[in-house]
Amino acid sequence: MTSIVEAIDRVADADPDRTAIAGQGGSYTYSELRAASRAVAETLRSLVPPGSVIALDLLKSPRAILVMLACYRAGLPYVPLDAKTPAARRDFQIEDSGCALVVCDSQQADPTTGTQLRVTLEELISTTSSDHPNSAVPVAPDAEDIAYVLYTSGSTGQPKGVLITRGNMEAFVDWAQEYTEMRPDDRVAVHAPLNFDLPVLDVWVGLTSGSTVMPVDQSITVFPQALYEFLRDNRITVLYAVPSALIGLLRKSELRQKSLSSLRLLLYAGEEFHPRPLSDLIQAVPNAEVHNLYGPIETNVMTALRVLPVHLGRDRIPLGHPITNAHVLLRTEGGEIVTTTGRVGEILLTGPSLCREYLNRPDLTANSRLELPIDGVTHTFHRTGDLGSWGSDGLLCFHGRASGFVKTRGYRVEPGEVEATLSRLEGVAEAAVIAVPHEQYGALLHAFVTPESDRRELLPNQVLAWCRDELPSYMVPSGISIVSALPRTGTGKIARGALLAATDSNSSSVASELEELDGQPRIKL
Amino acid sequence: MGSPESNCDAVRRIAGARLGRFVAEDTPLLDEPGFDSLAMADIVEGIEDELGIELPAQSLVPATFKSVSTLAAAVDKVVPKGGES
Repeated sequence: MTSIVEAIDRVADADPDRTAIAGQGGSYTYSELRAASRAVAETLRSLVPPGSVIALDLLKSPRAILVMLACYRAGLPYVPLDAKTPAARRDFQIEDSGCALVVCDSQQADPTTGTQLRVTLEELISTTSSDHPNSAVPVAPDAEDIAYVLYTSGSTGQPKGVLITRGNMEAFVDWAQEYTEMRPDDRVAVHAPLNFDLPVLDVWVGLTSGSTVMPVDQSITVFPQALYEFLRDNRITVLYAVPSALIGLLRKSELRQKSLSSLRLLLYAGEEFHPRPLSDLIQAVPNAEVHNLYGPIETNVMTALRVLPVHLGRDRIPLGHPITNAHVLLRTEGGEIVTTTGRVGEILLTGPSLCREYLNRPDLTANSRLELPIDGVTHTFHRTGDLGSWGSDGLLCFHGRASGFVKTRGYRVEPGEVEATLSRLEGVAEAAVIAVPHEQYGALLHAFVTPESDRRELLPNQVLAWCRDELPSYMVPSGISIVSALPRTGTGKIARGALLAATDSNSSSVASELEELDGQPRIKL
Repeated sequence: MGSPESNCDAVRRIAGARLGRFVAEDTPLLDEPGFDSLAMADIVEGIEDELGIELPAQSLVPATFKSVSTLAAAVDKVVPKGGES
């Protein structure tokens, strides 16, 4: 296993003036990156006890990436937070992670809650290492130590932290470097927010390969044409993004007319890409190889497929083959392991990048895992909640989700977390959130809310404003209906199928059934 | 019906409905909570459907969404489909 830090420092020795990171707010050559990340690492070590967690409340920028490297160098786990998410949710993550220090952009230096030490990016970078006598103590982190913590939606109403070890991270980077064949002349876009797992590939494979890593400003990622111009003007060669963003680029930018001649590698993950828009995209970027990477945040990539014309003729794009050292099993509801082609089971994954556990949630960790033998050796598998089958060509095929979270625009959302947030709004008696399938976005969330009996005046706008204050934007329902009661199944559960049907305006029978239930016109935003 | 709604009023109404809050002519849309790629696409789709126009891809950049006024100015530049005889 090659150490990430050693690999980056080797680039600094061999090619010190090569640009390592470039973007808004500055750029670093490899030698500048080495010097600056060493200095920041030493400052961090002087501020907190060994092994302390550092929260990064930072917008995506070259300096944010520098601080990630400094944390890694110092053996301090980092938690990237979404600077665009509501403060209360960030505060929860800061508390839950037990972090000793929060590094923030200057405008966010004013804490809302918490007792953690806060330091701005400016202060951290401008402090010189000579101030810190402790910095001479060498760092010898272990592969079992935590490298970073990523938060993902949790069904119990709060996000949950996924603990990724240095061994997990280095194994993933080793695989991805070999798979992508990234090289010094590559220019790698960092498209997804830093608190997701896609940038782990962009940043760490990019830097260990000696490539130039180019964070895409969050305001640019909102606009397909602005993203197109960024990719074109920076002659980006490697792009890794979720299908929703790529479909936006295809439909709402000049991509189809003008292509991207520099792009050689287009990777996607995070949600299903339907063959029709994917074919259109592949036609629009004829110079690029397109690959489908699959695996939840708990495992990172576990299967991969280079998408070829033969795959585009199928109903669904296959997930591909397990990557090096990964194992995939399919398990039926009855607990049987699928060995025949065509039979569907839940996808179970294991490999060297399977995360250690959920932070502070042994119950969730235990529920997400199964111990199963492969060739007589027991492995711990992660239960994905996704359904798959083996094709006759040996490829793993995707059959949708069995249960649990939904994917909207590549983001993972537990409807239960949105429901819990809605239920906290005064005047709300009950809420149900369902995923409505959508071609571009995978799914959109629709909330059905019942008001408390004395609060008939509850308005969708109030509910929407509450969600905007409490949830990151991708978790805010696109549709909100106020109803007087939720439909129930025979066993008293919420009839989610009936709710889903009610979101379809063509389905008049169920819509009228709902109207009978609520006794008042449904209001839809 | 009253006097026809100006493009600026229509943009303000559509953006406000999607963002779930009142927006004024000079509200910096880019800084509004919840202004993300989906909100942007929804606002554009709402404008295109209601006004019967198509905003060119080149206009879908941050500068256009600086405020309701800048977005309305981009709408003004587009000849309504229905208006062509």
